[in-house]
Amino acid sequence: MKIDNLSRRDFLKTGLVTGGGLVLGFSLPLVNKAQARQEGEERATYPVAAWLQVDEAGVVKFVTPVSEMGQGSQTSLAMILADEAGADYHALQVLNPPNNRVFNNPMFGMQATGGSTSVRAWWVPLRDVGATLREMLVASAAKQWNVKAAECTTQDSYAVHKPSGKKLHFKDLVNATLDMRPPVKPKLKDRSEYRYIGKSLTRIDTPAKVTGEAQFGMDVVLPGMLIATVKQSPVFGGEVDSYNEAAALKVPGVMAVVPVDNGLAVVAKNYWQATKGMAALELKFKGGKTKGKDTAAFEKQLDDGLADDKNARTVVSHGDLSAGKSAKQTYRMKYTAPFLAHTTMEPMNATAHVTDDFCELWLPTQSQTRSVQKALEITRLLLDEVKLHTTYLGGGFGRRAETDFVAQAVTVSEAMGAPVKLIWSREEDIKHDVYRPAAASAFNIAVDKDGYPLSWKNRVCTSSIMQRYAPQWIGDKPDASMTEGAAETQYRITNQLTEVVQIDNGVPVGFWRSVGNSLHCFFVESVIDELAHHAGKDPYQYRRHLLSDSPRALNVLDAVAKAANWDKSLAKNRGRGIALTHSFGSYVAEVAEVTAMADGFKVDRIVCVVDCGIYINPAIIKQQMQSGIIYGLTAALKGKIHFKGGAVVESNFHDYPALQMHEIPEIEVVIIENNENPGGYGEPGTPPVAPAVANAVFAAMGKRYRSLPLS
Amino acid sequence: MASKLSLTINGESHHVDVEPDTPLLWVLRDELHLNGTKFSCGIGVCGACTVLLDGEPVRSCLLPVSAVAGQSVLTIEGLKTKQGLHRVQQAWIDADVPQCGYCQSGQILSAVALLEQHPKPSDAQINQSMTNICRCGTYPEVRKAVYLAAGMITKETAK
Repeated sequence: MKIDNLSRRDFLKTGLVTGGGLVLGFSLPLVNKAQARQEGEERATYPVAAWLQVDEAGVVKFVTPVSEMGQGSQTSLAMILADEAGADYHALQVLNPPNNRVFNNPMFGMQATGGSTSVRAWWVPLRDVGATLREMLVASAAKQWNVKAAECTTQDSYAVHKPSGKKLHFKDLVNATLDMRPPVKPKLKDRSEYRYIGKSLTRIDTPAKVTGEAQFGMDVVLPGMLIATVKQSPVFGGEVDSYNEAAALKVPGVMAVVPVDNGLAVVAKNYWQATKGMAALELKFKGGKTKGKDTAAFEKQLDDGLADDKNARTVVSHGDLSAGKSAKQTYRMKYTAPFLAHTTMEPMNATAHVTDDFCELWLPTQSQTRSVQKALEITRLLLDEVKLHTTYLGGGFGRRAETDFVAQAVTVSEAMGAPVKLIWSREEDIKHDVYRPAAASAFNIAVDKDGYPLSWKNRVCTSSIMQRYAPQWIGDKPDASMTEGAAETQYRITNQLTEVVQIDNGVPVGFWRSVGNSLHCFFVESVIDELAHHAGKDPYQYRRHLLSDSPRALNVLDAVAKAANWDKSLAKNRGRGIALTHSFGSYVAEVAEVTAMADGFKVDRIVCVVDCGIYINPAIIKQQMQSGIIYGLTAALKGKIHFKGGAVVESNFHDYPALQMHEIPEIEVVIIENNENPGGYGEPGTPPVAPAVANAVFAAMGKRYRSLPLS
Repeated sequence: MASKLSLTINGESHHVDVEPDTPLLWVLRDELHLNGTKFSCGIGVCGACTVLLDGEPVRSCLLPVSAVAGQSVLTIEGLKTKQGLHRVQQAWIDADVPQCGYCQSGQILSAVALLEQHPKPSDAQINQSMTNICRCGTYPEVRKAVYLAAGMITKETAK
């Protein structure tokens, strides 16, 4: 049996390149046709039913090509489809996507949601899909009426014959489109014709999420379904040493103990029984790559890495690096940031039903293609024997781009010969994350007589995400995720050297909301702030001077300073800090205001300006900026994963807390209006918040934080 | 040893045969398939499992089902009536609160209980009652929706 290596084949097919940035973060020239139409202009039919279904009652349903993890992308993409196809958005239903090549993310060449790509990757291809559907529905109506297609249009889920006013609902038109030849080049609407795009329409998933009807991965129920939970080696890379299977099987309801990759699963009729079975198992582990290591050991490894000249690889080198030799002042700073967990509200889970000739998956996943691929590897089935249903995701943040929980569910279902819903406890979720990598960053900056950088040298030491996730995507250069936000900034820095020392310590690392930017924006924006203060210059004005070559960055910076009333003086114990990011195709600047307290500080207000180009739903943009800010603020104030004996110390929300309602500042968001290509907005709100707050703390209290969290 | 228990959930009688120490959360989800009440931490810290027990908000992940017998349980599924959505649910829609939505059943039930006790709650009372964790950061919209449900702001202000 041949195993279809889908992701590698698709990667080669679309020719993804890795130069210039992280594969999940850089801007590629967009594929200008929908995947469905890539197979050739001459196709005889179009996968209408993959995109559009209309039931007997006339309810129009669009399948969106992305997963919904709270970022609102299903709503934005439904608005695009509704506008181009001429459907009534307010009566629309959205369906989660199954596994299907037509939904391959045009920027990745595989079916995946992440990298803040949903709108910007689909902006062109999805309008093409909507326009194709419109023209085919019109053709279907024109044929029934025996009129010219040019006299017809679509509106509110009807085809309309303009001269006579005749109407036919989509439900009477769709079937005829299934055998029709699609238009070679459908005509997109002019933006002035859009009724939905650009407006703050209520999210399409909101009603189901206020009644408890929205189905998350945790909520899947199947006939004959068993429920399993897992315990994995607390030391990464360790394996099972001993366990008492008989004791577990004595627990009422427990049916089996099944080995999984790095631990054991206990299978029962319900989750409570499974956890009691797990507790009775007396499970012990041995070995592992991180064995014996604690937080201090990992931090020392980063420190040693900064001094490792031999293994420092150049990421960026331009200008005259000797320019700083004659400078009067050189500043050296070392910054660090810790490992972080994701803690989505919905713990990791997956449901699988494996038989001899079929594998069906129900997953809250960000990566349908890799999940299917993982199922194929384990079951040795063929591609058309695997069916995947995407559910809603109770948070993603990059964690659900992984397939570890998928592999476990498939393995256990195969062993049990029954459908299995596999659920991780919160403790397993925190202790078996793919963490935001810890990093250390050393700066050596010589400044000119005005205090601006004459030469800028930055060496980073951290782990590579791509080494584990997709080594075939790295190529010759170092994994760009390790230095994104550091290698390229918006600032005019003529003489720059950015290097990276890659370490591997066995701690699994992965994509955490904004990825490398979550580290480097804190490092770089704090350093810029330090330089400004050394130069005796206002941090906003200092940045302005260095942004002369970056008009869009300068524009958001000016806008945030204005919105935050930057020049208005504050009380003596209060301070403002400013920070900027260019990431995921967008520009975001934030100003934080803090008040110094007896035992620390309080964050009072965050003002955020975002330039994400053409946007679909401004309420969602603001919601996502706010979301990214609160997510980043939790990390900035409280986030640190500790290690002891090679295992993660933290276990739940009591020792790895999330900000609660009474702890959040006022947040204001302003959206810049322009006609630039759409940029991402799920992640770019996060990077500037830590440095904006740290810079505000310095302004209020004179205390400079060079590591996170700010506690 | 499993035992037969009689529960009143959303005004309906249910008979279950479970270990008496089974948390109410898992009886709701795994026995009755009322999956609107969510599991997130299992230690009563996050509030995703909040239900109302005789009108009081409780963390069902820590409440053994045996302790619930003879009391009335209200879950998210029980808020909607033949007349339509509960005003708190409608406020949640008008303020477009949910993002991923996973914490929202707990948020809504906490708000229902809060408004029963304090029909026009102060910010401090909201802070004290609405301790449910949200990782998506919907807190500002949750607060607005509570004001809206309390009639303290209008729909236009909420958006």
